Amino acid sequence: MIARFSPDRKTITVTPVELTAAQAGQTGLIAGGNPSPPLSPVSPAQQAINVPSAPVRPVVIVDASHGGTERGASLTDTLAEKDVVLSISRRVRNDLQTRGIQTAMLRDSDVTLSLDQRASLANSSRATIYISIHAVSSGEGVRVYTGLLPPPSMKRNGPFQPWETAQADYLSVSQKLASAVSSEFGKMKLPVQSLPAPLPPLNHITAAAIAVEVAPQGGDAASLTSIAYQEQIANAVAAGLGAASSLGVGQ
Amino acid sequence: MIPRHLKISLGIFIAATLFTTGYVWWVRRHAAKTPLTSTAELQKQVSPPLPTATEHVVLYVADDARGVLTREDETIALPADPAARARELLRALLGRYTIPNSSHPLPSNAEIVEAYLVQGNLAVVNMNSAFADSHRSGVLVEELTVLSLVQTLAANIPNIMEVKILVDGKERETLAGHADLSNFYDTAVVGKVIDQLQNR
Repeated sequence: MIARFSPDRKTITVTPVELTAAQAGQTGLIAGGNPSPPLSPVSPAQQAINVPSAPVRPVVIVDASHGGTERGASLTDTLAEKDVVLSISRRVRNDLQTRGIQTAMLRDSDVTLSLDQRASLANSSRATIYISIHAVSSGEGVRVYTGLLPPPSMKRNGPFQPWETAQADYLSVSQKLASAVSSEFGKMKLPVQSLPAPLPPLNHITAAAIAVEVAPQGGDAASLTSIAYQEQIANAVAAGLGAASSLGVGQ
Repeated sequence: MIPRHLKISLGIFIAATLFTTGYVWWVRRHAAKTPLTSTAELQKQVSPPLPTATEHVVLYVADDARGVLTREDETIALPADPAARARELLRALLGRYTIPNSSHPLPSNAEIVEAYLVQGNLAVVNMNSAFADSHRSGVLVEELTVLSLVQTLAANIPNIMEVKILVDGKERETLAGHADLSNFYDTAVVGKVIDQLQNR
């Protein structure tokens, strides 16, 4: 559900998340299940097989950014950001599940999700950690982002939180999480920057929330498809989450 | 013997000639009495735009390679009107990005269409669609563009507390798929992020 205030802030409208049947079928917001192979097409029948009979509340939500009609950055003439981040996200999920951490993906196929849909799905899953994966064709190493929150524009009223600053209560744990993940990248000798960014939907997430942007190795955008590089990224993220858990993040 | 109708026509013609002569004489005499608009007044009405004074300004220029904003001094001509000043400031900044070998290249057809100041503390920046449509996509590269615009305004125009960015006069969700354009940017918050970037 999404609650929105009118411009004069006197009226609140609560609406269900707008998710089409097709989108609902293609989002990977399911806990457990067999991990899909990277970038392989998934038939509806396979998806049905992967749906568990009793959904389990995930601890971590992995959000492969963009998708469907929203390609993200064009990393090369033929390589779109949406495909690379889906592959990396699947590896992150697999790595986390190997470590015994209940994990779900917001999308596990080439489906279009709006930014608000992503935040709503993540929040309604009641996961305690949200990670968004991005990729870029320039620069080097990895950037880890937390939300860039505006000053609160309205007082919190009971259980409702302003949509624009829903992340406010979780920003300190998000920063701890970003620090832990950055530290793991550093241990792997990957150049890493950590900073706030005005990157939706981070500000709308009611959990520890970070985004990881992966740059190519040696300036070669094609390196983003390297299995070894993707595994290295996934390992660092998973290890960072493990370290953050020991600090109380996601408890 | 002159026919009667010719006599009448001739009479009317002579009367009309006399009347016209008299009217022209009156108009010329009246015009001579009416004072001409002074030269000073004429100049006041059609005065050409005064040349704008050059001023020292500070531009926050994005540097993709280092992932920071560089503070650079520049002297540019700025009009007196605050909104026009904001527009010219951003155009000067954009000029740094549309030259070859820029530290933060933007498409050459990117433009700041207009800038507005609302109640003195809100700046509304309207960029053309080429600015956003042709912008490189990526979290950091888009963030640097936005921070650069906001901080350059905040550093040179006192009292600006918020900045809103529009594309072709309309609100847009993100710049090029990442940096948020749906909300207002608080200049104090942006200043802290830039400090964090510089001191990293």
